[in-house]
Amino acid sequence: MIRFSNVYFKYSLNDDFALRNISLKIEQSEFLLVVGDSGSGKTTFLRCINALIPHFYHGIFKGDVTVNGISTRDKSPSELASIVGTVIQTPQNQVLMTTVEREIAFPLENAGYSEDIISVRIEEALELCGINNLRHRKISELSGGEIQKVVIAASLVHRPKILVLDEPISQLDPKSAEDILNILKHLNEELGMTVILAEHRLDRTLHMVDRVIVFDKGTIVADGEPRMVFSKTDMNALGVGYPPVMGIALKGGIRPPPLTVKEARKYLKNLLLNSKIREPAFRTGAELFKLQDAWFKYTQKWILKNVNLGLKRGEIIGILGHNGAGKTTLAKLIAGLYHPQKGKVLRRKDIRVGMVFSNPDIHFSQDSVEDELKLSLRLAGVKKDHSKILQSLNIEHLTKRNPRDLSGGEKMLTAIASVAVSEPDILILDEPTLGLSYKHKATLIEFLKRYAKNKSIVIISHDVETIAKIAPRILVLSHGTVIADSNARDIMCGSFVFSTQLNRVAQSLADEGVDSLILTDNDIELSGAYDKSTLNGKERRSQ
Amino acid sequence: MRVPNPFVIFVWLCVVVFLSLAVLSLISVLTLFAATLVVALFVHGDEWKIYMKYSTITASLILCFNLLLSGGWGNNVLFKYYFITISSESLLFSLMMVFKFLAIVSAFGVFSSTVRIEDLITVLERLRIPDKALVTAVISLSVFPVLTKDAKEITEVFYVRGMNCEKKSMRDRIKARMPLLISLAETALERGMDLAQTLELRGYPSRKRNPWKKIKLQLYEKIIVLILVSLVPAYFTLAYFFRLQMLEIFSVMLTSIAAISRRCVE
Repeated sequence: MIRFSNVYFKYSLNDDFALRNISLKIEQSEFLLVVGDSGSGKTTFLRCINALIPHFYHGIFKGDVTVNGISTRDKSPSELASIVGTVIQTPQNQVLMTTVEREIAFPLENAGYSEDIISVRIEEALELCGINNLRHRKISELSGGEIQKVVIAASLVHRPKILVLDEPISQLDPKSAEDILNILKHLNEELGMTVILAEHRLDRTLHMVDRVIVFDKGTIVADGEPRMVFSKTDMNALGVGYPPVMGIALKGGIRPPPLTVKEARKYLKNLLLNSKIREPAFRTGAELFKLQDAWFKYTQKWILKNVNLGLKRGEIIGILGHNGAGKTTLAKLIAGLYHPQKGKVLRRKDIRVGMVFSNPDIHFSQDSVEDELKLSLRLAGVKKDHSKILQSLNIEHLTKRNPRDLSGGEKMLTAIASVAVSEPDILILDEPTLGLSYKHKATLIEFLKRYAKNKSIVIISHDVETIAKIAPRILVLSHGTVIADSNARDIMCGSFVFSTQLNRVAQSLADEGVDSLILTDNDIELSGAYDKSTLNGKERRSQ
Repeated sequence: MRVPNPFVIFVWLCVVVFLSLAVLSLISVLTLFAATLVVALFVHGDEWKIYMKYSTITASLILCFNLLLSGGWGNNVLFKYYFITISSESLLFSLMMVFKFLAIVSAFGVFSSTVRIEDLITVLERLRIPDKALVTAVISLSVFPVLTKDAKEITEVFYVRGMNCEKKSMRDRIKARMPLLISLAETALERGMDLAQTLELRGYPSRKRNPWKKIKLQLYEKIIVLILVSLVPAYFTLAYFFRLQMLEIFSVMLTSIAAISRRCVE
């Protein structure tokens, strides 16, 4: 179906090759996961499949890519559109029309289909993606998850043989992400579509795929069945990491490791029973900020309703909630960008607040990372050495690079550095793990823990695994109302939506003596004296 | 929102823009502007309000520049202060330039509020506009709504980082806003790139293209288009021989209202 033969590619403005000597075959109906550290070549690889390389992105292109027997050198992306459907990283930048049905009709109009066929295909795509109720809605009124589904539907109307998706769930809440992944599973299993997915969130995707390819510095370093690849390759060293249940199993010496929560219940029981639980330790200081009975609206509808929130020095608060729950609006209220129409804001006068937005691009205006940090210090009126923060975030090698030329993960870390460099007393991060690889996430978690020692952090994210590792306190928003504000264990343990992968295992083994308060691998100490007998020969063979 | 026929609105826009540039009397320009206001009232467009809101600053600048640069052209001096001289003629000329600008912006506001991007593609293709111009138009119109949101967010980013334009001179304010403008320009370019990429991936432009919803002109709409189009040669004839600019301007106003109100009421 797809064949790469000795493919090399170098973007015209870059010094290094983004892809080096890539040779592989992808068969029909395969579900392929592409993983790798930020900037390892995943997106470039996908761009070769839909012919954006060499037709849209120019540079040095060697070797050959054939899709369904057609060389991508000979056909443009628009000519390949009926064979390859594509969903890019930012769904908001992939919608052109004003209404859902016209967006879905657009590719078919371009292919010259008759009105009747277009109507049938629209109906089909809407049904397949479960968005028939959105048919007449305006795109501008949709949530992030809904837009993503519309983009997928528009990619499917051609009935393509291949669907290529670049981080399609990174901006979605857990429920929307699950919906999208179920659609992909259905397309692959029932309709035989070849699905090629680049994604950092392994806990949600790894168990679904047939094959994984791992990229490192533009080359493929591992390729094969997920369990085999993740057992034999040091994924931490490659910056990819492991899904939580797999990571803990490998740490405990269980090989091959479990892929799903269901398998983990069997394999991890003894390991968890013999582990010591670490009690979370956190100290807090004086109150820096308080919202009292705050109400806020942009136009007619109240976005935040009667919100009460106090924030102390040394505290890290995680804010969870579905897309459109009011999380970003609350963050802007804390940052002082908005003022509540009703209620009070009590903020100490001597404190500064910094906020990192979910789109890192809007933070950049300078030609180098160094100049970006210097600008932040100048604007904040702070005199400080800017290089330390780059070291703390492991991005000192990017000092002279233009922030807009960086990979998604590097951009996000640079945006965080540009805000945190002036050391605001309250640091707000809106979806800081977007596009971050395991390596970058680990760096960020360590950095935030250090930062919070004498400052406060508010972190908004759909990434419950990261929130569970950083935030001892969680606030859950639903339709503008705070429905829960308590410690992380109270809220996340046993939750249907917000629990972590490891907690789902622990919950189901609670009756057998496993502590149901385990959220992440940080919460447990492996004792080593556990019985590995659960993974008997029969089970090994069945894998 | 009520949606008039996109083809009629497009022709109306072209005629209003042409006449706004061509006519040389304040009353004619005011009438044209009033015509666009009436149409805007019918369509209740949000974009129109945004266009008008942002154009007020530019309109004020046009007024000031014209008053200053006309240097008291004319005999009836109304005001004199050192080198600044304002005469009734220069005032009328400056106001005419302002309302020319406002009439054009208002017409574009109505156009943006009523013509959806999918219909614009169909209209422009029908007029055999080249592909490259079409792609540019599609990208520009898609970027604009997102850009206003980006502009707001970029301002917020710089505000949180400590940008403070208050209590500063105009020069310092402009200097302080430079990073913000650079960021906005670069973000717009990146969005434009993503949209161009999406157009490619969706198979556009294409010679085979067949619009799903065709734009059909009813008889009365055809007559209105004919009248609107004929106003352009009529303007030259009437203006040259009879100097009756007002006649065709009123015709634009009446046909505009007829064109839009009929469909809106339906």
